[in-house]
Amino acid sequence: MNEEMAWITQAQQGNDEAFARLVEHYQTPVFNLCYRMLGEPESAEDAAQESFLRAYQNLTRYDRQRPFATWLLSIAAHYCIDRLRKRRFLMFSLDAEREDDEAPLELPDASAINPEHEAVRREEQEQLQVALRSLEATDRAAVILRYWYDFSEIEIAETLKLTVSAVKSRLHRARKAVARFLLANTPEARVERTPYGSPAL
Amino acid sequence: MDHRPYEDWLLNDERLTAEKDRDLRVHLRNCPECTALARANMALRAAPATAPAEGFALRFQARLRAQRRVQQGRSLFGLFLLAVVGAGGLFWLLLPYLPFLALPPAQLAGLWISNLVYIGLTVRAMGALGSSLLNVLASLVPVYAWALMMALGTGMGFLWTVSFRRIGKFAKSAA
Repeated sequence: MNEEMAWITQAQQGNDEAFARLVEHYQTPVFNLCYRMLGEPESAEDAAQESFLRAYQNLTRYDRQRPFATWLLSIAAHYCIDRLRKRRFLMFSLDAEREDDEAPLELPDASAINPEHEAVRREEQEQLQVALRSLEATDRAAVILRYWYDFSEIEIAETLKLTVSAVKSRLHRARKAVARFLLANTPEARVERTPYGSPAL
Repeated sequence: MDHRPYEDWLLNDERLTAEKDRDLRVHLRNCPECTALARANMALRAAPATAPAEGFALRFQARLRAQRRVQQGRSLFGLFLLAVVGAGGLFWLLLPYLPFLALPPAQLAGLWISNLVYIGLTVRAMGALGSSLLNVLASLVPVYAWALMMALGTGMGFLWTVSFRRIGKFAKSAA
């Protein structure tokens, strides 16, 4: 039995310390999923905590044939999808107002040497986060699981309770939408859209 | 511009041969849409994982404790409510019988025995009535009508099961 399985067994027997170890081990993947899904660190923190709480409450139902990470991320993904659906109508109006003064995403990188390169990278990350936010909740979850967690299409289908062909089409649609967003937001595209035809103006 | 097969290669994350890779690069030089798709792929792959603020596990443990307190409070309140409702209900049920408690024990026992005999006789009468009703019904409805009803019932059940499964499958594939 590996260390993780030992923690799971102990946690199932009511050992909170063992579950705390699982939380420490999986906090970044779960938080990152929630952050990429919801787009705000505060909401992500709350969603990640709630996901762990749900996992704790349903730990006896965990099927040991499945990887624990898949099960845990599935809980977090479903929770975030539900949360996004609940606030969809509210967000629709709020986003329209907030679009221009969107607070930039702070992702400090201590290893960054070239400030210019770092600025470009950060801008691209911000654009990516905005692009993700424009996707439908389940499409967003599929993209996140694919690119941040290297889930196969079969694993995504199991996690999100979809068919493999549905996952494939959702991934295609989502990536095209991200590409369209990035294309529309490249500096060249912005220059083309300026009414005076000059970048200086 | 024709994006095939380049768009498919990019969307399917195919591992390209050297020749295909060269072809793709030539296409990307002239196709902003496919370039954007390749850029999207690269940006998604390069995106870092975001970690929570320090002390996440401690905050979780505090939240778990708070949740437990709330649950314990709810359980206690539920138990209290159940006890109050149960006691009230029991009192309400016993209220008509309270005057009998004042009777002498022999008279009380006689009353209980007569009540039990009454219940037994009622059950027996209901059984007799039910069986005679069934006999009448069986003689009125011919055998083929019974068979038809059974077949109809089975058919409806089968149709319901099949429809339920198909609707479930359709909903899943539509999602």
